[in-house]
Parts: sequence; C-alpha cells; structure tokens
Amino acid sequence: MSGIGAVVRKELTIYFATPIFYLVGFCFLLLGGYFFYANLLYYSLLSFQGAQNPQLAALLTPQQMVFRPLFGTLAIVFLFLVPLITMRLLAEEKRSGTAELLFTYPLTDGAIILGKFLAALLVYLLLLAITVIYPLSLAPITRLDWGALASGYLGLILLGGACLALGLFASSLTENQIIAAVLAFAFLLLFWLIGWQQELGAAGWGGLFAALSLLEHFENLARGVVDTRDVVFYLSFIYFFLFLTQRQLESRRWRA
Amino acid sequence: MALRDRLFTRTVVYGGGSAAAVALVLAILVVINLLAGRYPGRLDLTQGKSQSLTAVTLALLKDVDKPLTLTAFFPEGQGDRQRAREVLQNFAYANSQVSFSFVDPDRQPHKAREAGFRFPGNVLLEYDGRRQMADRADEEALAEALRRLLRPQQKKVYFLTGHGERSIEDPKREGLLTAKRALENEGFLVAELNLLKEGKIPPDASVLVIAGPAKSLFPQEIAVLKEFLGKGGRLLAMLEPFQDAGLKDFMAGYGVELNDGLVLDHNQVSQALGASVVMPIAVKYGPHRITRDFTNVVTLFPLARPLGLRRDLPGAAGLPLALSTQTSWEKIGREVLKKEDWDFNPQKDRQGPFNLAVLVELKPPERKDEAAEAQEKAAPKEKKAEGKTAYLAVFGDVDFATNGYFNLSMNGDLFLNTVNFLAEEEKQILIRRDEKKPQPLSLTSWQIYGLFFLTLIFIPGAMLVAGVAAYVRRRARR
Repeated sequence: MSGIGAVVRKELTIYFATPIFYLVGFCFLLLGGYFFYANLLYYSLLSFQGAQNPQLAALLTPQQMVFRPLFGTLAIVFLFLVPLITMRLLAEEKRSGTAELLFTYPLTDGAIILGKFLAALLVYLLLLAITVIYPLSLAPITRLDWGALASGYLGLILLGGACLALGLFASSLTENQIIAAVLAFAFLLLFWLIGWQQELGAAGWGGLFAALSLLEHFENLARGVVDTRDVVFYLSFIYFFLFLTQRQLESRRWRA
Repeated sequence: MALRDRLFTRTVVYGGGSAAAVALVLAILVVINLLAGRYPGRLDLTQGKSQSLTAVTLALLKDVDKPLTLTAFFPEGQGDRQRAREVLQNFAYANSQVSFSFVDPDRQPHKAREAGFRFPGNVLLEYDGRRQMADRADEEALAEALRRLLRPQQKKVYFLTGHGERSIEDPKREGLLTAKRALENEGFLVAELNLLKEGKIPPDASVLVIAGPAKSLFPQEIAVLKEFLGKGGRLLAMLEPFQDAGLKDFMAGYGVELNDGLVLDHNQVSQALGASVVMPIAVKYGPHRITRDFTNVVTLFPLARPLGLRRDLPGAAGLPLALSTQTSWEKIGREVLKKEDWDFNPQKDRQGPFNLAVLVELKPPERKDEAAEAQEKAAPKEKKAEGKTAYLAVFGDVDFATNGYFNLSMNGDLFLNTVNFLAEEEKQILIRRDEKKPQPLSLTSWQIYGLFFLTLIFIPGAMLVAGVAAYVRRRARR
C-alpha cells in the first residue's frame, strides 16, 4: 500500500489551494459557532429559572444543555457539507482525464482510494479540531464533563468517516461533480432518516431500519456512552463503502 | 451470438464476480454486526456515570432471571420519549432478559387500556406472570416497580409518633418527607405508629424508628420497646441533645450512655463545606457493613449529642458507626445554646472525638431452663423466631436525616444503609450516586460578549481570511 502518503499529500494540496475547503470551513464554523452560542445563552437563561426545578436539575449541565445538542447539530451541518468535500475526489479526475494518468502510476486502486479517503478525513478532522475551542472557552467558566466530550468527538469522527466513505463512493459513480454531490446528499439523507421508520411503527422491519441508521448509532456517543455495537457499525459502514468504491473503480477494466 | 456466448461475455463474468464479492463482504459485515449485537460492550465516559444505572438498580436487576418486558406508553413525537428510550436501553443492557417496546396509546388504545394505562410516560413491567405499572419512565420509578414485582411482600418501617417526633409527612426543612420517599424508593412501606393507641408494635415491623421525640415516652411504651428488642426487634433511635425522651436508663441497659452534651466542631473540612460550629462532621466510621464503603466521605450532624458506649455488658456488643473529628469538643448543659458560648474551654469541655452514631448487637439470651426447653419442644419454630439477634442503632442527632440535610454529602446513604441493615436488606447497603446535581451557569455580560466574538466572529472570520489569502496567492501565481 505504498503511495498512500503521496495521494494524501496531493489531495491536501488541492484542498488548501481551492476555495472549497475554506468555504465549507466557514459555513461549518459559522453554524457551529451560532448553535454553540445559542445553546449557551439558553442554558444560562434556564439556569436562572430552573435551578429549583428537580425535573430540570438533571438536564442542567453543560453536557446536556450545550454539547449534546451541539454534537447533534454539527452532525447535521456536516451532512450537508460532506458532498462538497467529496464530490471532486474521483469525479474530477475522470472529467479532466487525469484518472487515466493516475491509474497508470504504480499505485493500487486500494491505495488511491485510501489516500483520497484519508485526505478528506484529515480535512474534516481539521475542522473538527477547531471546534474544540468551544469547550476550551467554557472550561474556565464552568466544570466540563471531558469524558462525555471525548465520546461525542469520537462519535463525530466515526460519523464523519462514514459520511465521507459514502461521499467518495458517490464521487466514483460519475464524472460530473454536481451529480456526485447530489447523489452523495441523497444517499446520506436516506441513511440518516431510515431510522424514522421505526418511529412510524413499521412492524418487524423497524429494528432493521434503525440498525442501518447513521443517526441512531450516533445518539449513544453524543450522550457519552461508547457502545461497541455503534463503533462496529460505523467501521463496517466505512469499510463497505470503500470496498464498493474499489469495485466500482475496478469495473472500468471489464465494462464494455 | 448464441445464448451461451452471451452469458459468458467479459462483462457478465467480471460483473458477476464483482457482485458476488460485494455480496460476500456484505454478508461478512452483517455477521460481524450481529455478533457485536450479541456480545455488546459499553463504556460510560460521563462524569459520575450519569448515563448508567445506579448500583442499587443494578443489584436489583441481578435477580431478574426470567424474561422481563417493559412496555412504555408514549404518544409519538413526544420529547420525553428519547430520554425514556435511553433509560429503557440501560435496563436492557444491564440484563439480557430485559426487553422493551413503545406503544402509542392513541394509535393502539386497546393495548393501552388492557395494560391499565393512565397517562403518557407509564411503563408496564411484566415478569413471571405478574405485572406492575411504573408511573414514569425514569430509573427510580422503574426500579421501584421492579422491586415490587420481584418481592411482592414489602418490609415495613414504622416511625413512632405521639411525642413530638419529626413527621414523615412534613415537607419543611426539619421534616422527614425526603427520608420517607427515599425509603419507599428502596422498597419499604413506611407508616406511623402511635404506641399509646396501638399498645404494641405490629408483628410486621421490620424496623421501628424513633425520630427526635420532643417529649418523654411513657414507661409502658418503654416496656413495649424492651419487649420488642427482647424478641429480636430492630430499633433505630435518633435523639436530639438535651432530650433523652425518658430513654436514658433504657439505653444504658444496652450500653449506650446519653449525657447532656452538645458536640461542637471547627475545622478546615467543615469550613470548606460551609458548616457552622454547631454542625460537627464525621469523616471516620466504624468497621461495619453499614459504613464499609464510606472512605473519604463526610456526613454532617447539625446539633448533635455525643454517645457513650460501654463494652463490658454481656450480650450487648456495641460499636461506633460514625465518629466526630479530633478537633471537636463537647459543651455540657442546655445553657450553652442560650449563651452561644461556643469557644473551647479546656477546664470544662471534653475534647473529641465522640461517637455520633452507634450500633449495638443484642445476642438473644441463652436460657436453658426446663420451661424454655419444654417450650422449644412444643413450638420450635416460634423459638427460632425469638432467637433472632436484635439490633439497636442510636444516632445522637435527627437533623442529619431531615429534608434540609438528607441529600447533603453522604447523610442520606448513612441513614438508608442503617435502615437497610436493620431490615436485613443486604443488597441495598451501598453508596447511592448523587447525579442530579444541577450545574447552573450564569454568564457575565463580558463573558457573553467574549464568547460571541470568539465563536461567531473570530473563528469563522479567520477561516474566511485564510480562504481569501489562499485565493490571492493562487491568482498571483497564475
């Protein structure tokens, strides 16, 4: 699997040279900052009213009032932005004809895919790392639950990885970036909302749909509980879509 | 092209192989996820394990060895539903026999009616052919309902009345309503008992509590108490300073000495807790099952009296449960409260530590006279019941268990552990978690401005500036 580093470097150079990364980053951080700030004000408001209310008391912590809803919102914001990060990865190579060049390098398909995936993941991790400023800015003011925060970030990383793998697969299906983005968005939304079937009472199948839902598996991690089932699901999801992408790339060799 | 050739074109062969590979990988991943579902692992990273069940509930769930189904009645889309789901998931995770489901009472009214649904949030527990409804879908209510299911016979705790004792229905600071509710959540039935009216202690009394009487008990009542202990009864007495309730001789008979003192204390720990000089604290505990888990924990005893302990009495083995600190001292006489002369006087005052709570184990007398032997032969079962070890727990304070102090530090745990021990509820003697401490946040206007600037202006702005810089650099290179 040599050459992954080279692919990662090349992709990162492109990310940081084009406006997409900065635009995505700006939107992500603006929305993240807004929701963090709004949650914080709401928490402070409720603190005045609710310190005596025992029903509310259990919820009146920074984790429950600020970070748990924030993680949920960041995940949704990211759902909208993933297609923008991944749409270019393979579609652009095909459209501009550099794909042929890339495939003639002494690189395996696996290395190319893994390199591109890791580059997108690094970009995402960079954005996520910037949001660590939120808890750090609160740390001098109030006591934070660092364990739960770590679990929430682990959840965002796994969820992000799953979304990026799906986006990369969508990008491998077409040579048009717009189509790649639309496909990625549609797939993501489907896997996001599929769990609602259970709420609507789809008897029998509800459990299966919930098991496939990206959102359903995120809940535990956002509230500070690391469950092996959720971690295994995300890792399987990532592996499966990277594997599908590899099959899709290989198919150029035998498709008529 | 012949059909055979068409079937074996390159596309079909490779495409089929690829599809088979995808199907195989998918199948393997499904199996891995099913295995992960069957052998789950779970790590609660939150502070104080706030997303997990308490030790009390976990101990309770250990006894569930047949399928237990939980049916929660929630209308769809209700906000509390998610929180209820998390609690139910915790139950299901703790014991594989537990399963849960949600029923919308509007969509399935027949199911709801059949289950005795009353209001949204009800949870029906079904176990071993029995059923029990929990009012709310939170851990306390579910554990309480489960306890009733597992143990249909509830033990009874009586609180003595008629002498100005603290009331178990009083919601004010000095009342015992919190203690009563906590006992009910531990599965006890709690009732009041007026000995003058009843004349005897009911046979179903697991524990009798005397909580801070303001007047003395009558001699016939004390005789009833003696008889109760003689038959292996369990008595918890919480006595205020300067009020013996006529129990001085009674207590002395079991090796507990009551004097007219008040414990005062002034040290760094109590100062840090905001306790005043009349609020001695205990940081040292006796070597007993009740206080086994009490390491590095503090209990507060506002206005407490010290208790003497004589250890030379045959048949009565006493030991201290909670001790005041080395820095505490004792003032004798009721006048001290009026004069508010708290300072330590080496000539007159005694230096601590003192016993703030003691436990006396009373071995049944081994009578071997003929009459007893004859009785034993006639009714061996009754004899066995009479041969039960009696326990007398005495606290030199009642305020520690009142509404105002019950949830402070470990006070509630000390009280509950003592009652659970006296009632022989071994499994419930542990430290309960205090998770529902609100953490209110008040921001100064400067902090609000600062956070606004940092999160909404500076961070996104920096990203925008970096973007513009990258764009300009790129244009310059062209």
